[in-house]
Amino acid sequence: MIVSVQKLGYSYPGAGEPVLHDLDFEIAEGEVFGFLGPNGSGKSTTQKLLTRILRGYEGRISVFGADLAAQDVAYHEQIGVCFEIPNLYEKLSAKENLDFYRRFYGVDCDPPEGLLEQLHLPAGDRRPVGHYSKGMKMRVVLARSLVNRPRLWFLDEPTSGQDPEHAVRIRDLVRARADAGATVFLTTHDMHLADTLCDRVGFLVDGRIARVGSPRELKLEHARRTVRVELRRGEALEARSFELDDPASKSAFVELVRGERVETIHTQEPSLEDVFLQVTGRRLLA
Amino acid sequence: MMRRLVAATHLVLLVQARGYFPHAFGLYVVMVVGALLLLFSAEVARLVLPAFLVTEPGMLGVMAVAAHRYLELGSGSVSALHVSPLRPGEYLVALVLGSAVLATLGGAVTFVAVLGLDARLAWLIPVIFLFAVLSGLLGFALSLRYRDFPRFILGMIPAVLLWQAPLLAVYDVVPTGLVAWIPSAPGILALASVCGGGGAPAAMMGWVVAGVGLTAVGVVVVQRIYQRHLHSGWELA
Repeated sequence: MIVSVQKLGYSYPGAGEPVLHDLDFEIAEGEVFGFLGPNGSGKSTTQKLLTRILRGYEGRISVFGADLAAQDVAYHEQIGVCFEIPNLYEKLSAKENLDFYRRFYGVDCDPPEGLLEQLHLPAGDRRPVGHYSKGMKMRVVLARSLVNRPRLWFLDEPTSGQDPEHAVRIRDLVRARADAGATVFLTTHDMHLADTLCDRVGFLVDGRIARVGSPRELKLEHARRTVRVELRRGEALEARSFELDDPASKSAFVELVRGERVETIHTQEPSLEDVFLQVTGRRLLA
Repeated sequence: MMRRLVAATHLVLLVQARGYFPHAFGLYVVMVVGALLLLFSAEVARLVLPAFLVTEPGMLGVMAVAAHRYLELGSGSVSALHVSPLRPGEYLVALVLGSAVLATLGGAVTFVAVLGLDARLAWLIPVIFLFAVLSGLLGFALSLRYRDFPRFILGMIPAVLLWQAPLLAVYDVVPTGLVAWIPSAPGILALASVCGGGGAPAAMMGWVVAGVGLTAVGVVVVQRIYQRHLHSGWELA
């Protein structure tokens, strides 16, 4: 396991209530693990602990096979962090932002030009990033998080501010990096992104993990095995539902498909958002 | 460590240059030099020179470090630094060095404008640089107490007044012993000594060694305060 978290608890200094309670999860090498939860659930705090910004936690965090508390500069040489906000030097160009950042690393780094081009940003552009749109700035942040070819890549809402085309490109880039062996820790509200990208997801509510599993497994677990059919009868559009576990209903469905003019057929598995609501009793975007 | 420190200092200088920090310093130096040359006789200008030389790093240096910090906090760029291999202590030193370079240049220009190119400049540069670094550390420490620049400005006034209080001993308003405990005292007294004709080389070397020692202690103390502050979490995105 690349990341192993056991009984993780954390309280901010001076705050009474803990924000994390006994978190347990593991992430395998090359896995895309999604951490899903509403605002204030503890996602960012967990990420800050895993990136060693915050210390003084309870429990145990092990990363790359070693206790996180005992890791030194070498740890940050191996991770990349893409923030949710465009936290760049606004008066520097995109290339300058990446160039300075990579000079902090003692490991082999990718040239900024290649990373910027990969994210459809003009590598030769000398304009300060302050002139960029939010989507472009976020792609510079994403490129910056890749300069050191991270083994463990933290992504916080990586498609925030992107148009659909760039969102798909980013999703493909993340998948490609994971396929090449990088481990990805993704925090997001975007259920479609989590569903299409994550190998497993963890639901976090009020600092507690409610459920961990693959999106498919979770959806099947909470699915009603029902088929909804829309058929055309004359001018009228009629909708009917069939329970697949009921033999009589199943036969009726087969008969209907044979004999009627069916316009649409949909299985009724829930979305990841529905599963989240069923498991936690909360909506992701309150 | 040196590679990261050099890169961070270079970054600080570039960000400050693009943020018009040298322009602000330059404007201040022009105003000070203009006042010294046009408003005062040569004798009075020599007399008040230490006060102006102390103010450049002692007030502008403090403000420059803090202004840079609030720029970084506002954009969130400091968070990106803290998840890179750059250590908080290296960031602190880079920031203070960047501002000290500006303050030293400004001080040297002011000194030359009033006293001309003088051999004492060789002492002035290390003394003013060390004083600027110490002042920058004060600015950094103060910026950890206040969440925004306007509140910082209000909060820094009593601290900066106290920081520059050893000037009162330079002009014999209070006995030196009364202000000698303030960490800025060796630097301010050394600056006055350089402007007043320069002390014996051994004494000047003593000031410089004291300045180096104080700076080392200051870096360690402010770095510890910063580490504790970082772990409270509010600074980072």
